[in-house]
Amino acid sequence: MLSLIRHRGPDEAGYYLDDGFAMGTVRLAIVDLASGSQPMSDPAERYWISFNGELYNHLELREELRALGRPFRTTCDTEVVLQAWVQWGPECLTRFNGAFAFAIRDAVTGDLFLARDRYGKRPLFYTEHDSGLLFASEMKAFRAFPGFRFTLDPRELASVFAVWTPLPDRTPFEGVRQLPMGGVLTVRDGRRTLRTYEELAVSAPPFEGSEDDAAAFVRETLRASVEMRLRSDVEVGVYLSGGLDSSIVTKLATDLSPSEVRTFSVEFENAEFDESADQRVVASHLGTRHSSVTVSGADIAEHFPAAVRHAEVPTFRTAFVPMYLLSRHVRDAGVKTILSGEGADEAFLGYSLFRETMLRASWHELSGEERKAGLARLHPELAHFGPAHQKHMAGLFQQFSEERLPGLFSHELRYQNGRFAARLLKDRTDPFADALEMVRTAPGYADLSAVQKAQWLEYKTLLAGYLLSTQGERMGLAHGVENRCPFLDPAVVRAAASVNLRFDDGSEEKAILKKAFRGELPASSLARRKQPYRAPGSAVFKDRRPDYLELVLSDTELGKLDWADPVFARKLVAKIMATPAEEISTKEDQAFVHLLSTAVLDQQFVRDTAWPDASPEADLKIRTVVDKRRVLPRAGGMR
Amino acid sequence: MDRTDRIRQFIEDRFLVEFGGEMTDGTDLFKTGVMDSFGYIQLMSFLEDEFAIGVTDEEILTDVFVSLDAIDAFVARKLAGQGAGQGDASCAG
Repeated sequence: MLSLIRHRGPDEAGYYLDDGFAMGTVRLAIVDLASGSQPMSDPAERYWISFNGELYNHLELREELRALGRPFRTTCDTEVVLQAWVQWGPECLTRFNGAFAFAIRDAVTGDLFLARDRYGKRPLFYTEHDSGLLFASEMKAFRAFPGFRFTLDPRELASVFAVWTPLPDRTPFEGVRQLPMGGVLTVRDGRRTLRTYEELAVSAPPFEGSEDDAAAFVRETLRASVEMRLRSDVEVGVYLSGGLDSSIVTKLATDLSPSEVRTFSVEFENAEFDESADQRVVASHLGTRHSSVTVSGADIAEHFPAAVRHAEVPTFRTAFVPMYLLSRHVRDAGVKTILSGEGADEAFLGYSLFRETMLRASWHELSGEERKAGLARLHPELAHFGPAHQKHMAGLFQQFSEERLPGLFSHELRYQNGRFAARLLKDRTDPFADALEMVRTAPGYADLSAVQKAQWLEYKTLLAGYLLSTQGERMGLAHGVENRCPFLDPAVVRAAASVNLRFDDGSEEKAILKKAFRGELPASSLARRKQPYRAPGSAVFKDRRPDYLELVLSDTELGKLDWADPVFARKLVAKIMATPAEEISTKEDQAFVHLLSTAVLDQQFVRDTAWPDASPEADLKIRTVVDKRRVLPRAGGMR
Repeated sequence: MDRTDRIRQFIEDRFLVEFGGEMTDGTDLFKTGVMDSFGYIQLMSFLEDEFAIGVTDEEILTDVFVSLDAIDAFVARKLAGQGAGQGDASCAG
């Protein structure tokens, strides 16, 4: 199992065995390179941990634990996690500020604890097999377990297509679950208990003070977050997209780093998607050592199957493929830890979705002129939102001014694209049934404002289920590069919630954040409207005709996809192939990428073909082996 | 091709649906996921151009564009109101 995920931790590996249990770690060494090997135990060798990720506040917690009499043998954050667990039990989880997933085995009682960070930055999948439990950081590890087979779950696929991402505890595969963000799973005497140790909080008491005070407060909170995330025994670089968020992270990193900061970017051959001019302005302004990888449509087509294999879920965009190539570039440059701007748009209301939600929620209280003004501000970059179509767009918004899907109001217009993609499936059950149930049962959700509900959904779906995972962690660790997100620090999320819409009406995106860094970044970065990071979509497959396109072009191949509706799939593929790229709608483009990526997953995971050669165990660099078996083992494995 | 068929054909081509079976002339195109923002604008532009009708600010805010039946009835009313003696054939061009 470890050899299938060794890309996540190419530095060394280790495993622990006892009766009926096994777990292991492939390690990406970042903190305490010499003595942080895993699995690691407490001095009494009762508790054993496999830890994936980073605990950023390990220095503070170490001091606290030392004061309580806990002994330490290393300077590694993994030992702090373990000692905190020994000291406080699962209550320690709310004290952690980090990106992590871990397993702790109590060798005395035989209990197993699995836990995951509050925003879902690091993955943890599990499944029941042959009356045992398997767990791993990537599902592909399960392939190595004797008798395990993947099956795509039609109901989950419908939900993924409709909502764009798996729900927090789901995967596209039958019987395979994720530990949800902020979750802890206890396995005791063969019984599993899952609970949430911390609910996602998108509201906070309003900031008391002036707007200037609020801007200073936001800046200081972010500075502290970046400072904590620069703790590392290896160099920390920055992903620079050219937008406001990564520019802020770069600015703070250059202020706080003792040495020159290296920044890394994706550039596109296709000018429509390229942001290199902005990236270079920021890099030059802040004096970073900048490098980039230039990505073409051919590159996306070539690396799509490998990137999907790492993503392990259907995707609706191709933009994760360039991130796969960027992490390879970063790793080749000798860097294995980077900071990025993920989480800023969710925390500080950066997406147009939030403005759209506010407009639709207040639609019936607005005059015709106010409605038009609101529409004009939404998507000035899109022709169909332009003045020529404003009257028509008002008609569309009228249709979406009343809630149809209880609790999902903010996303209903977006989910039209998902409904369309769900038609690719034979399964005709309501693709929103599970998302509706999720928000119906979420504690406190009903009391949130329309915009806060939109934020909550973004955190739970697009952020955790795509941006942090498919486009983030999975692509980074495909090449052993770890991502750290200063905007996803609990203090930053709280600060944002306390100042959002307190001093502005939300019509200018991230107004308080811009105010906090005015004068420190190039004027163009502060003035620029958010440009969503995008990559060329279905056109790259049509232009390049890679071999695997046959999976959806050929009737025979389509027939092998037992979850797909062949009539609609054929119709969609025919339209994509026959229509100029500029006439393909976003909805059609997304549905096509859903279809193709799921067909690739089917080929790789279900039919178990098109895998690279298996990695020999010798490549794992096994450094730690703890064998306490008296009989043969039966479960487990991670990072 | 008569008015209804032309509207039906446009919706089938643009939205990759087939009327008959699950999709009837009365099916709500929003609820079934047929209509997105881009497609809606395309449909409205088609109706105005193809039948040379204008849709007012008030009309656009009603429920007349949710199904094939409703769209067809709206276009028929507009054409009838536009000109005495003009029937479907006169705007088929």
